[in-house]
Parts: sequence; structure tokens; C-alpha cells
Amino acid sequence: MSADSLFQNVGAQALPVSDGDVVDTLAPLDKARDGMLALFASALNDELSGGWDNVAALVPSLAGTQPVADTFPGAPSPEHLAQRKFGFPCLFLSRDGQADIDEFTLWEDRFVQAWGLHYILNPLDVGNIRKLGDVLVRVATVCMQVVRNMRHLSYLRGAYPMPSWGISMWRIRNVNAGQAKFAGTDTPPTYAAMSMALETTELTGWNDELFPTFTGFAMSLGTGTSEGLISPIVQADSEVPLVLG
Amino acid sequence: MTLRDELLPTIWGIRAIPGQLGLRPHAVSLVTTTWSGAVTGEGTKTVTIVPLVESGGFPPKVRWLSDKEIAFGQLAGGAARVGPITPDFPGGGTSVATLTASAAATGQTRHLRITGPQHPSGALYAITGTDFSAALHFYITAIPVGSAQGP
Repeated sequence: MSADSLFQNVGAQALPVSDGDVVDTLAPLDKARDGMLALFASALNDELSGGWDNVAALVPSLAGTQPVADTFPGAPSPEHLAQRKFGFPCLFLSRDGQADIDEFTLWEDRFVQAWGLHYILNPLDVGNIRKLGDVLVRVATVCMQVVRNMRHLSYLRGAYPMPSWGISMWRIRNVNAGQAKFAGTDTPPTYAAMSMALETTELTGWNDELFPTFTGFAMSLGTGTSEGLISPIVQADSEVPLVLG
Repeated sequence: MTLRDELLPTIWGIRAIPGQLGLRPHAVSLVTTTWSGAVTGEGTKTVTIVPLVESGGFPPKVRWLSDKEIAFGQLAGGAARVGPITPDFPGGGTSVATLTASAAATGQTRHLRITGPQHPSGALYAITGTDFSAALHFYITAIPVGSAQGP
């Protein structure tokens, strides 16, 4: 671990990065993305399975699937779609575009990030759009409620996961549902999809590693002259009592 | 037996001649990668390589597209076209299922690996287009995505 590190956090991303943070991918450095994706997928499968199972069985390409059959922590770009075998319906989540950085308080900055959440059914003909297309709006409203409640009981037994992701605030900016082409391409196929723009706020903070031997503090402030002291005027202690000597 | 059925073995052999003469310097393989982790890219990867060949194990033609073709096709720079590839027949050829990796499992990745003078160490390409419209040949269009991995 670097001794020269800033020992600061942005959301759940702590500096310095330690060897224990990763095994074979740096993905754990962005806990928010994988966590949010798992939360939304769990909530959608829990809330929508009841109706989904009956209708999906009538669409051969989706028979036997769950409302979210596959997840991908990235954008649904043509390059990704060309390289990986996707199971549909698939839920995609990625940091999308630029983040805004500004001062939140005197000692905290905030990192406001736009995200793209995409739910792609599959290319569907008009008959199957009638069967399944209306799930797109339901997907949006389930996600909306998950954001409102900041959790879902089907995910981590209903725990509030945002602190562990380093997310202080999140909100939905807008939603589009219907026929979609991705990454600006005009080439087929056209997908039945829901795209949601999310926004999260991650705050900076101190990494406790900066003060590895710190246990507490005590302060006593007085005043006086050569004739004597008036002490203490201000006295303060940390919550952890100091054991001196 | 149709005329196509009778022609395919002969065509497969004819398409090997440039390779026999050393005029097909680029080897082409289909690379399927499986990851042991929960997410593609995590855990141990297992690579399966299927050479794309004509008769005698000689590679098909590989041609890098011109700027005009790339512009009209809305392709990324460095896009390549592989083919003609002889369709499968009893005893040889390459099937549509092989080229589309239709048997691949969710989460697996599929690439084209091209090795030769253009890419001495090999390069991975993403298959962005297939042309199965003709009876006697297939074509693949691919764009470069990285250096070759695996064996």
C-alpha cells in the first residue's frame, strides 16, 4: 500500500487501492455499478415473474426465460453485442457520459454521474410486441419504485445497499420505452427496449488509513497572564476516551 | 443431389489453390471464450479455437476494406472481409452455425482471430456482419477489437 497516497475516498472508491480489493478484475473498484445492476435485476425478476412466465412461453425466442435473463455491466453498444453472447431479456448498466464535479460542502466535493440503464427484450415482430411490449413501462416503474425505496426485499434480504456502494443520492432523470437502435447505428436490428437515465451523487471523504494509530483526542483550551491561568475555557474529548501514558 | 451439392466439394478444393501457392498469408480462426466467473471477463478463461479453412487446411481470403467501403458500410476503421468461405457439405466446408456461434452459451464471447503479415502476433476481430445470401459462398465482415489472446 502506498504511503504517499491521498488516503481519500470518492464514493466507495478508496485511495490507495490495496491488493485485497481485486482478484482478477478491477471491477470491484466500482461497487456501485455491479450492485445497482444486481439490485434492479433482482427486483424486476421478483416483481414481474408472475405475469411474465405465462406470456414468454408463447414467444419461442424467450420461452423459459425470466424477466431479466441476463445482465451486463456495460453499454449495449454494437461492439459489445457483436462480441458476447447475450441472453434476452438483458439488463445493461453503465456510467454514461460525463460526470459533474463541484463543491458540496467546505470539505467535501461531489461527483454527480449520469448512468444509462437499458432493458432490451429482443428484436420482436409486431405480434410479439403486443404480447410483451407493455412490460417495458412496467420495468421502468419497478425501477422507479426501487430508487424511491432505495432497496428491494429480494436483494440482500432488503438491506439498504447504497452506503456500501458509496452512493449518497440517486434519482431518475428520464425514461424512454419502445423501439430502439443503439449507439447511433442505423443498421438493423431494431430492439424493443427501455432506456432510463439515472443520476448518482458520490461524495469525497477521508480514508481512515491516513490515521492508522489514531484512537481519539482530548483538547483543553485556557487563557491567562503571568499572574495565573483560567483553565479550561473550552474542553473537548472524542467519543473514544484517551488512555494517556 | 442438387447441382450445388455436386459443386461444393470441387469449389472447396479450388479455393484452396491460392493457399497452396502461398497467396493466402493470413490464418483465420473462430475464437470462443468461456469465463468461469459470474460476469464475462471474470475468473479463469477457457479458449476454444476453430480454424476457418478451405480444403487441405488452407485459409480463405482476407481483405481489408477500403476507406470508401468502410464509409458506405458504416464500419470502423480497419474492418476486414473474410471470404469466400465454402458452405458446409458432407466432408468439408464451414456451416452457418459455426460462423454464427449459435451453440454458444450466454456470457461466452466470440471473435475472429487473424494472424499473418498484417498482424504478426495475431489480432482479435468482432464479427459485425455475415453474408449467407449466396449458395456457394459465405462472407464475414469484422472490425478489430484488440490483440490476440490465448494459444
